[in-house]
Amino acid sequence: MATQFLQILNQRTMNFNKIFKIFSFLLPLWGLGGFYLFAHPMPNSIVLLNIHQDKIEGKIQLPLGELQSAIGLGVNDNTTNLVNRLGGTIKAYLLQHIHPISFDHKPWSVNIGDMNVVETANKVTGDYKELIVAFSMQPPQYADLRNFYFKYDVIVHQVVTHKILLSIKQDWQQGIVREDSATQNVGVIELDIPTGKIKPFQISLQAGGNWQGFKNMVSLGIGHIRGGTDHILFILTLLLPAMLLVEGKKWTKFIGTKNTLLNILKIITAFTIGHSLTLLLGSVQWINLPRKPIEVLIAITILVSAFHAFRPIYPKKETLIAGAFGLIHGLAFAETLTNLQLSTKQMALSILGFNVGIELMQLLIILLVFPILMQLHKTRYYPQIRQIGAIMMMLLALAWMIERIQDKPNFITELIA
Amino acid sequence: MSRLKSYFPIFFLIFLVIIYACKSTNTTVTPSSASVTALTCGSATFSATPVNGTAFTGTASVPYTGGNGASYSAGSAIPSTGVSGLTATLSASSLVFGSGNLVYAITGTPTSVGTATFPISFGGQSCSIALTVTTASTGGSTTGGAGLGIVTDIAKIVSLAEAFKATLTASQITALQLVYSKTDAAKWSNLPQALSRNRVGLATSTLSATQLTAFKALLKATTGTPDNEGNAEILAILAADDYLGANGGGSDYGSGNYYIAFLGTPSTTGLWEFQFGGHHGTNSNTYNGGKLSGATPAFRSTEPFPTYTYGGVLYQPLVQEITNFSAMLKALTTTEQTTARVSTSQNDIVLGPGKDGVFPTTKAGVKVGNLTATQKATVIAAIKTYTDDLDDVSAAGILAKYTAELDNTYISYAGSTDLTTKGDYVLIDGPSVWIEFNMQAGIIIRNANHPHSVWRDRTGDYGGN
Repeated sequence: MATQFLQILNQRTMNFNKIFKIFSFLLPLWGLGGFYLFAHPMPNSIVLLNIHQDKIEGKIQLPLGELQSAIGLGVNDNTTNLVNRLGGTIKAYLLQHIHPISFDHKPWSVNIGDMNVVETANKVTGDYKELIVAFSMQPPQYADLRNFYFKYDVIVHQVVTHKILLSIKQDWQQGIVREDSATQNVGVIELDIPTGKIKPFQISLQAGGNWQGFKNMVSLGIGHIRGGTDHILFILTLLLPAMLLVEGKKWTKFIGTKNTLLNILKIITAFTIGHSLTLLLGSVQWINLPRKPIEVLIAITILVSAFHAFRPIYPKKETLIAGAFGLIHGLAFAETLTNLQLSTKQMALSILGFNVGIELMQLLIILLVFPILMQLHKTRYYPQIRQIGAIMMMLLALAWMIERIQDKPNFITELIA
Repeated sequence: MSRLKSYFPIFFLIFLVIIYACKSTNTTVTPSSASVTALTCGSATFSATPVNGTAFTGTASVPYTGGNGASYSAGSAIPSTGVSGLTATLSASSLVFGSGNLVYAITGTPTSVGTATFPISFGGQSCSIALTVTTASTGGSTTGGAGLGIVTDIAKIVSLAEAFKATLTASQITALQLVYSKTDAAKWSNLPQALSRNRVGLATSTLSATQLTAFKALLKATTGTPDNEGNAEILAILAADDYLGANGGGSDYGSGNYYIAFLGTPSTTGLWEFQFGGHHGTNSNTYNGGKLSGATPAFRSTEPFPTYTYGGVLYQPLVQEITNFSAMLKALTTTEQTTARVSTSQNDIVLGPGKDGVFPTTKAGVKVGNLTATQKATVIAAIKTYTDDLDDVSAAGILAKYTAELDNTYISYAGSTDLTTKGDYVLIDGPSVWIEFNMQAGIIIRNANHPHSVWRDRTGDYGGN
């Protein structure tokens, strides 16, 4: 299990490395810290919690060997159809051993959701099977969601050497939302050896709040653009010909600084409106498209924009096209937010914060890159620079397209990675 | 007009967010505001006592009177004054009509010893919660505890330790020779090195043949001579790790992954520990004032189990242990076995690495003082398979101590009396002695079980430090 976690973490870290390599000059250092992982030498249980506004949802990972030691029924020896055969019994057992209570001893309600069996390979503990259980719990009226006693003794009530690692996977108020931030450990539920009892585990989450949550969404938005090489390059592609006039299907003269800036403003705001709209629709799940075609479409938008930078194909319609392309890019942003399952208010703040973050990052890129382009434009080599840049972008867009269709990197995408 | 146009997107965005925010409005009942007639911080109770420098999570319950039944939401974090580093946050709840308690979550890491004060204000009343922060137990000093105070051949052990040290290079000595600290003493593990990576000292893999010979002489002087115990047992445990390395375990296993450390300079008068350990074996011999002040924690395990041949030699390091434990349990009457058998399950030992100083306050099972002389002899025989691991002089001294305390020692077990099935477990828990033995599934050799066991001493672990 730990290896699984580490693998995921490594993949995420690789993404970060890629970004760092390319754009580290754009930004001050970004803290990766704040997460750490438990070593996982024994088959412990893991409880992951997602803190929502009015309830806590979570996943419990129960090693079946340990569960069998606790309840028998051959749950580890025979996992065929386990959930169908024994789901009801296991659910009743879990409900007996999960008792969140408020500080004034009022019981929370607990619901057990879907269960499924997963097999895990681990070098130290050997291969073992575990049961993943979704559950949710809700405090009684007026009781505090962020401060309570988690009376949980699944398996450990019987197997006194068992341990339960408790982690927070998501807590919007504290800003634990990033998909790649792994988890925040809050502690271990285990036997208190001197007393021989399992003490109720006090969960006291740091008070965060809407401002904290909003700020974190802004940084998530910034991180999202920074994390997407394709988004950044897309913006650069839009900028390449922004100062030029179209005459006879060719990019020609300088249109003046004022017009150029106006041009850029129009293009970027159109893009923003586009992606805001689909981000909103996607976040409330009015539209829900699979990830792969969206990623391919994004590559296509880069290809088209790059070609346009090479030779104008939709003169005077840049604003409209940027808006349309924004619609596509927004769908990709939406996925980040839908996974968080936020309350209405949190979602509204998140969309706003996320957009602000995206805008800030886009502005930063423009501020950094555009003066350079303007300077370059004054040289006689600009047509070549623009054309070579456009061709390289087209190649890259094609490479991304192929990568995303085939689900495997190719030599061009690896070059930039 | 065109300027207005360029602002349009911003209006549009705001509009979208408003639409979204209004889509479903949570209906909340607004209660009358909470009020109390009195808050009594002086009678506040606390769920636990924070320790300086240690992360703390607890609660403070503050009694109130004259509650009006209204609900209240969570407060913001109130930082402590006096001792800083803690915060108190009112937990949302509802007042009762009359007397009740407000509960504050106290979290953080206190930065000093003394009183942490939280000024609170609620329902028209205010007062200050005072919470005592205690000092962390120091756990070890340079002079050290007396511990067991068992006579041993200290001159021989020190001279062999110095002789070994004399064979080493300067950088090897830097790795080997550390100052005494309980923290380093506690850094033993029953995990293979690839997963532990916490051990201190010098890896045996770095030793030349000459250095290894000098080390083995020291090891021999600190371990016992009986068959399959003491020196023979630790060498067999090392061979077992080499066997695992050669049979699927790879380079994470093997006797080269065992570490030697001198915590404190070897001396016939001062405090020092000869620590030697790796995956399935740990020796922690603490010496102080020329005596053996501690022989524990001592971890004993082996995989493969029960017997294996490596380099043409047949090894069986823990067979005597399991035989004697099983004989001890089988010597009990059926009624006594029922008393000795615990209802809980054990998939590991309880006081493994890191579980220092947390012995249970009550003992379970059968009291050895209630047993016959014959039965008592089986308990001593089982204990002897651990005490015999020490050099013969010390072994006799420690066994005498445990024998003297035998009547107040308890034995208990889980699973079967054969102790060969996964989950089988036996515990000898005395005024001083603590020996537990547990059968687990094989890790590298998958078709056989393997045992884990630890010998600890309630007063003598780490020489009482």
